[in-house]
Amino acid sequence: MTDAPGPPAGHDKPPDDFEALFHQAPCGYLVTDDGGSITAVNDTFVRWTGFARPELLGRRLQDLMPVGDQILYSTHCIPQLGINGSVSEIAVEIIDAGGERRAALLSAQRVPGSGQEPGSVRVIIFSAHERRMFEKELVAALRAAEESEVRRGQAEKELQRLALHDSLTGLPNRAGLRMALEPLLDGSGKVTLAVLFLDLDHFKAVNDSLGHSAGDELLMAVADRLRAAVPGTGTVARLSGDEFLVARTAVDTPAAVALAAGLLDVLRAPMQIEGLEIVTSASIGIAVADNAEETLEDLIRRADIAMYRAKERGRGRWELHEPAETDPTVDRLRALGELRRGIRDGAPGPLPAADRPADRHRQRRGGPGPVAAPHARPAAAVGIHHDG
Amino acid sequence: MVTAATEAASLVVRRNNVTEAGRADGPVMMFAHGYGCDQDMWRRLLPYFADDYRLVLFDHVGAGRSDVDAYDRGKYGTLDGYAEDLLEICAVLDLKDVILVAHSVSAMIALIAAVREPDRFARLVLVAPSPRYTNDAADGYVGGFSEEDIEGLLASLDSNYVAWAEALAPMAMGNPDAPELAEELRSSFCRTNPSIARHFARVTFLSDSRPVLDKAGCECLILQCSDDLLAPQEVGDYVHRHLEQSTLVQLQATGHCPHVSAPGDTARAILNYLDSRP
Repeated sequence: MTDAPGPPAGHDKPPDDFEALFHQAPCGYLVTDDGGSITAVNDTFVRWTGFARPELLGRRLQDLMPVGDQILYSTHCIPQLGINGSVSEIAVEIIDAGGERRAALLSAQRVPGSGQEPGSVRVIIFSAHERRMFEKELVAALRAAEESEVRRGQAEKELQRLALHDSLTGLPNRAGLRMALEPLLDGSGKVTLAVLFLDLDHFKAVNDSLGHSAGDELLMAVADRLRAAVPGTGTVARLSGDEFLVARTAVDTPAAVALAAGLLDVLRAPMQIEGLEIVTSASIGIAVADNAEETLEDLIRRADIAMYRAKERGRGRWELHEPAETDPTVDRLRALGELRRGIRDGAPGPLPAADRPADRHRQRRGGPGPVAAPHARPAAAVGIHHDG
Repeated sequence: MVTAATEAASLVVRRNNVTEAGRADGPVMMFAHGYGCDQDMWRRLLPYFADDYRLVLFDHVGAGRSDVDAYDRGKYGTLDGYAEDLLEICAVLDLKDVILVAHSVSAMIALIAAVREPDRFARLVLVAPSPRYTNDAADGYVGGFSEEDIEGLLASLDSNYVAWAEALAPMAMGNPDAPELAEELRSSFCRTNPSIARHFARVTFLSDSRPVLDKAGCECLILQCSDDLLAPQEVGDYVHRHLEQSTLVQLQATGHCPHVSAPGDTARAILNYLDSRP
């Protein structure tokens, strides 16, 4: 039966039951050869596509599909029919006689040839318009979900970047610095790490006299210069306010000192801030990790102490925290004592507030920051407030 | 299956689901499947070679029973990633003088591999090859498809997304000890992860491998089908012109998969070629 198309619809002879079932089934029935050429087709399919039966017979089924479906049919379905004998529920579109695309599902089974009989393929095609609409929505939702997942990932990365970087200069902040350096200090003592604690001189004066936007511009200019001056293997971070930190691995003391001297030079060059030429300077404290037990916080604290000494000895210079200065607390007390004396004995003019030790302590040590150290309290105890 | 000497070897074997058949001490014949299928598509061709050749088959990552977790969009963003895998398989199995039979997009993967390691391969058999599926207005190259056609293919893959995802589900949840396994595996033929199928389609149908043709010095047989939507006659002629050491054989078989639809004719064409060039 399947090899003959059967009588056309509306013939006068009463149809055989099975033939009627073939022709009037609620879906398209087709028979093709192994290459897809249609050898029989039922009335339902003829009606559904609007083609005349002779237009369909001899035509390849895949030629009724848009090119994308043809590729899929050729690369996926035909070999699957040849090897496996069947395909099921393949989503295709059939282009009807009017050129309209009709969504359909296709299932097919191959009947192997025997003797002189070549193999053939029995195909059913049923309209799947609503299902396709539904699936399109599902797939669109899936794509949207995938895209939003990508966006979420990007947002997370951006959040992490924000959390680890200073928004003004783009440099790593304290957390970013820790993230970058702590893996290096693995306690093996194999990595030498030099830390330069850099504080701008008289930054608050700039802020107060020229305004915050000028201050911000100055900080950005300083950040740019530091970034440019520190080789790729180094890290430049902004800790807070006008405090920067430069770290380099595999650097010994002479190299660290040379780097500090170089940074002082770079910062000394005049810069244009809001149309005004400004000459700035910085004080730098240097500490080089000399034993395996030293933590990053210890190292920063030692560099901080040396920075104070640089301030105290006239600014615009570097000081090295010698490893022999074994007790940072004592050292700190000494430094604070010297500062106190300097203030009492009449430093040339009042110190800018940012450089006043008591203010600095409130600014920097007041919160539960990572370097909040026990020696912060002795600072108050030595009575700087009274003298300042 | 292969017993791999080292862990690295077994990783490669598992990743690409490498299987072997035929005569263990025969010359090596390796089969690379094309887009949309897996190594099972060679099933009807293998009997013609099993007595004389050591047959090595594999699935590209993302296809068949390869390790889907190894699918890396970066690596497989170009055909080079697939060529790398093919060479790794040759290396871990220490395959020499390989006769590489490659279908469709794998024909270009085979050529890339042969340019990289010319000494590894004795002959290439390129079944329905195409170096570029889209037309190139710039130099008049006819690949057979427009970019819109390829977008249509991607849309078609999307339409099949739900059906394929459904088809994958029983396999993902199946119990390997269950007796219905054999049936399950048989029906897994050409199953594919829809997202990977989409990406592989992009890489396959929007790639341009024409430059590799001029670099390949290997002896190649081109099997050209009649009435092949994916690799029309002009494309076969183009490949033949640009592959210095190539022989083109026109098959009677129609369509894109002569090894499936006419395995006997396909095997004879290959054997004739190999016999004529010992």
